[in-house]
Amino acid sequence: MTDIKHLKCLSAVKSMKAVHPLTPAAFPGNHCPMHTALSLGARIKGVSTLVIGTSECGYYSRNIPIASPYAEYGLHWTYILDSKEVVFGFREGIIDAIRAMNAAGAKIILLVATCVPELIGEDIESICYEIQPQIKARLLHIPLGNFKCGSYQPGYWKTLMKLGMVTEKADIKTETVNILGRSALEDHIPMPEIISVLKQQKVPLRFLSPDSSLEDFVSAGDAKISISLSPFMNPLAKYLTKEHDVPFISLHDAYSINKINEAYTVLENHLELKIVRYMKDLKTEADMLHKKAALHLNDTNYIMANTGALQPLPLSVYFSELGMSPIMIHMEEYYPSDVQWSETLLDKDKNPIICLMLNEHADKTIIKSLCPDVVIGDWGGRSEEKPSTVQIMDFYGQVGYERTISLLNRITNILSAPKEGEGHGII
Amino acid sequence: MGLYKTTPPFSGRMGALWCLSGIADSAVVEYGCMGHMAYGRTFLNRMGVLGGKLYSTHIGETDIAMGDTSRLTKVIRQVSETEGIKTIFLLPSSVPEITGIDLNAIAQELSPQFPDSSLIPLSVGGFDMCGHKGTELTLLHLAKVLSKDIARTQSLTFNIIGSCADMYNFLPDAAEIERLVSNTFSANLLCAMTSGTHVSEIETMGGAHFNLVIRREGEAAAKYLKERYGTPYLMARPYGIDGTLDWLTQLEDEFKLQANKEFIRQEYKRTVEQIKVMQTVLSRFLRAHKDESKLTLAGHADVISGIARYGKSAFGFDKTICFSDCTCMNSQDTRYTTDEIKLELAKDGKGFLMGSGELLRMGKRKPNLQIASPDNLWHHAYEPPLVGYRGAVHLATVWANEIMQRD
Repeated sequence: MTDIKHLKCLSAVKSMKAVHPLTPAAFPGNHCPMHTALSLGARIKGVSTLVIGTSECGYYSRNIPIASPYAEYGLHWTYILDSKEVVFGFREGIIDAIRAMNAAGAKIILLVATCVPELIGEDIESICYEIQPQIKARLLHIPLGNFKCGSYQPGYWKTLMKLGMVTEKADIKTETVNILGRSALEDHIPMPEIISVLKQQKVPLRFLSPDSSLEDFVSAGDAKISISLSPFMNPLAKYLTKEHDVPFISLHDAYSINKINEAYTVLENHLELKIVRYMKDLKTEADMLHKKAALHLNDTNYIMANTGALQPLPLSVYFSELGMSPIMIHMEEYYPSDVQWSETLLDKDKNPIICLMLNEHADKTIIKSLCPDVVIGDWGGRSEEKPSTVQIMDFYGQVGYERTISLLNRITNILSAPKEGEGHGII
Repeated sequence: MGLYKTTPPFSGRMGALWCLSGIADSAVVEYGCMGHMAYGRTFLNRMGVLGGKLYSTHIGETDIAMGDTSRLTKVIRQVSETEGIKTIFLLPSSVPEITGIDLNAIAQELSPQFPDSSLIPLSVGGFDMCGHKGTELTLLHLAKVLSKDIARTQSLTFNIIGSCADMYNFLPDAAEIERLVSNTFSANLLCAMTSGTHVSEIETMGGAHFNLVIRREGEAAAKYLKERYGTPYLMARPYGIDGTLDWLTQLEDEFKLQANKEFIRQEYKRTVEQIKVMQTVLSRFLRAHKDESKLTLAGHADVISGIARYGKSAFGFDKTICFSDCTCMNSQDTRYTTDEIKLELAKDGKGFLMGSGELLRMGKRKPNLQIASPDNLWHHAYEPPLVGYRGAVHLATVWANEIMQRD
């Protein structure tokens, strides 16, 4: 089963509706967006959640609040629909549930609506509008039908965008910089250099991510600027720009030396600090590596598999600057910014097949049959010698020249390794 | 249903999926959104289920609007032709339950395209059916559609009915039951429905000499097998030393079997020796601390009643209080574990509490007191059982260690 005629090329993809599974049977497939919305909500101090859906949604998802160190700072309850409510609606039940959570002390309730409430079309938004004046808890409805998307990612960005609605207007801007998409407590991946530079210069940082508190979101409007380190965060960053006049720079999708330099220059000018000069050595190293890699990687074709939290199209645009060509790209979400990235790629004559990889075993056969020089990201053949794999899942939350340097080192090391049975493999 | 502050009860669909998941050489294809199955699969992996392959078709808005079921056809083709799996169970997820997809009709229509595959649809959905009912109906359905007309085996054989992933510790418990029956009666297990079993084993279960039903949800299947193959059955779970001895004696009498008395004597003696000191220490503790002499059990009705009897008779718990995990299993002595009851039990620091991982966590109790799902830990087949002689020793150890918490 290696037929891929059902797939579309990038030029024909304008939303997730046009992104089809590479092979039909999801095994195991992706988590639904409710999972990520809840995992985010449960990890922000002071946020309460109400998952609205079926027993499956309520039962399986209880592991998430259990695993959260901040679960006790909020209420994490479920509202399970019965057969009558599926037919006649659940308006009264959900109003009672909201009142009960309000009475129990919830400060903010994320109403996470799953597939069934979304399908039957109960108007939760208007219920929130109607009941909001009567209760103290702030209600935020997040519609997350799994049938409307290809993966878990809308659970992150839609929740974050909704949380932006609790941000209060600030009359006076402070010197604070919002760091979007990275926790101050995460030590399993290196902290981006730009964060260290800002810390050195005593810039107050506010991290908005899991491990933040509700208060961090409330006060995010007083920031001088936001730095987005994740595609999940860009919708929130844009919202803060629009509603609170907090500009942002997006670093997660900047891979080329020029793009990174531009972003740092904007930041430097905005904060009236010295940033670019602190990055000089890294820039020089990245520049040198880029030139070397471009010579080496020209005409290399690749398949981009599971890149985790890295947005695949901007990464492909950077690879095209190195002369690399994508054969196929796995996309779990089509972000608004992907329109621009897509145009850039098409302008460079790159029109890869776009797909959703949901079955490592079955997808592996097709990936191998397309004979890429290298596979970028996680896939079923990652332990095989050919094609080689470049793992990039651990670049989550990392940005800047240092990420580009690591990326270039990994790819060139892999592709310059001795050919034919002499040491291909993953690093 | 309504509002839940703790884990809500599992659904009929979940009961069906968990039941089917233990059958190797088979596949479950769930028609619906993939998050449904991604979650289910994760849960089952954690429970230690090794069996069928679990696939999802995923569906999009267009499929729902247009009533397009071509994703299902494509997945069946992949599973049947590429993966080579020939027994394929079709399960609806919640969205197709609403849109009214007729899986029976689809299976019928697709069957000619896959002549060497068995497409078996299951209708255990809806939004009101509890998980235990789903388990019951699935066990019955499996007995009906998979078991084949077959002659009684020459050597003594038996089936275990009802060993499914929703029962906490189902794998070790089934292994202990098999060990006891094999050694006592020189009988071989044909099929453990449905833990660690194969399609071929279910097909041959009609050849067994007797069936052991280890939970009430298995009785419908056992009755069907009795009707079709004349196989007698016994519905019971053996807990404690005397409880296990009684159970083995009952098997001997009911099925007119020849028991290996020496094996029983040795097992009994060894178990008594092993728990003796713990029994002395624990019963003395319970006599001295009357306020602690309470054993509260929350879980499957067939599990809690057996453990309660053992605790009371062998260790002298003054009071045993039982709560079932399903409204359909309420009785005079057993109430359903509502949210309020869970919160109350968690708050009550007195006595010995056994229940789900969730309840123990809520009550800040040790995880080895677990006797019910759900929890968030990984499990495997080599954990100590709760049933049988070995289960009796394990329970005694758990309770004896619990004293350390109380001192």
